[in-house]
Amino acid sequence: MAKVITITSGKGGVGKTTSTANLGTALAMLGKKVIVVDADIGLRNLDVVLGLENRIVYDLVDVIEGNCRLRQALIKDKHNGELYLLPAAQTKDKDAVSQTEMIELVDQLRSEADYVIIDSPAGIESGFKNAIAGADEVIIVTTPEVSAVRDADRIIGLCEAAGKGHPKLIINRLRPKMVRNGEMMSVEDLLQILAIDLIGIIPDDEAVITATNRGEVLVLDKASKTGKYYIDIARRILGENIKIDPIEDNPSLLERLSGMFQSKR
Amino acid sequence: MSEYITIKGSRGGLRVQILDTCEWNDAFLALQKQLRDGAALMHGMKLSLDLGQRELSPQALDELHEVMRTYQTEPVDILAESRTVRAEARTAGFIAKPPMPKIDTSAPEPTSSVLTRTVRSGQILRHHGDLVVLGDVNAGAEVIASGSVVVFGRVRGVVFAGAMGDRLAVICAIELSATQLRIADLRARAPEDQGQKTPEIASIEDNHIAVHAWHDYRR
Repeated sequence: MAKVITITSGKGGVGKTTSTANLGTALAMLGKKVIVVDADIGLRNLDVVLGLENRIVYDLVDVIEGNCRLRQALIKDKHNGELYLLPAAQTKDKDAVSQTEMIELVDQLRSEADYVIIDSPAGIESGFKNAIAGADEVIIVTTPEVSAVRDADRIIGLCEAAGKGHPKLIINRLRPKMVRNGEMMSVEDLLQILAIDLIGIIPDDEAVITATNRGEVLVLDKASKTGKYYIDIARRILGENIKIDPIEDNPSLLERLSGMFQSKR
Repeated sequence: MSEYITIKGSRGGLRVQILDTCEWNDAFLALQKQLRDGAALMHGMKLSLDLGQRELSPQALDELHEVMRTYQTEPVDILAESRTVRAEARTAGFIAKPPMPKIDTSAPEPTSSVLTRTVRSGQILRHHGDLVVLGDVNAGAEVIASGSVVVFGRVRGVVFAGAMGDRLAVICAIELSATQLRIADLRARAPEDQGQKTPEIASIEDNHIAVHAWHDYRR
């Protein structure tokens, strides 16, 4: 029986889909059978990020409406035989699916894999409610910005009200230099406000954009540090006890010099 | 609160008791004033109106229903001894029930409560009486109480104490960085600069809300 994890955030554009794609791939690389589900009906993205857009025949709504069998709609990933995608419908909207239907679908998926990762749409309306309806656990993605944190806080409250317990937190797009200069909220600031457990920190990395545009995911790139951080999160999902280290970058010479002067004062 | 009506917190809402012996008109006016003044607290709460042994005309019940509909979002229950009043209350659109067995009246009416949790953005906590929150009140959250509010944590959201008009209510917090404070009929906005990091108490002084460090507060 699979464990079902929903990735959500409230605010759009903080990295839900990127996180879903990378965590799904990472779990598959670690030998688990994984199904990633795009629950963003009408604004389908996960297929593009995984580079599987041209293989879609049936989608999530087709399965729910009984137009096809579940296995017909599952698309095998091009890199990893253990990873499958259930794409969202693009020509429908969120009202095409109800919470009960979503729970039934998720229960069907449970027997097909070890992990089911659901990519939630932004917002707090029916799409979000559908996405968490069948989840065993929720992971919240946020960036260190006040607006994203405010939305994350709201979502945590809604998840708790829906009986999903305390979600776990991924802090995405952290810029260590800005934090050092006091221009960005730190990990500690975020945790103090949101008061939930951290499951990983992902630095701001331009490589995410290029990878997304190519339809590749970063975890496949052995040299990518950011990919490594995602693999660490996947290991934590599997229950491994891996310490969350602060994100380090290499301070420039100038920064190091000014740091030396400050410490001497 | 007035001599004609008393308000008790009960499980799942508020019970408004109307004095058996006064003129209906006096009680009705007092009730309307209470609904208006206490709107922030009462608006989203489940109300039951306890008429006791009072007899009311269908016309008065219609009027009452109209008023309750303007002020309340939640449906209002009518509790009445009289079977005819209950029947007519149903015709007027209420849910009518016989009054609950008399609660031990020696117990203090508004209750004090301690809640251990983080109040998050979009959540509203309503309480009749004094309220202690062990946890943070985050930005975008609201805490509303008819008595005082003590937060053993950080306040970044909105706190409304004395929501039924009690000007002696206070708001205390370990870190009071509220977006807005309200006590009774007054409102204060947070100063633009960062708030104190020491515990503070907000209370009404000379017709405005004053905030003092806890050690400066006159007891």
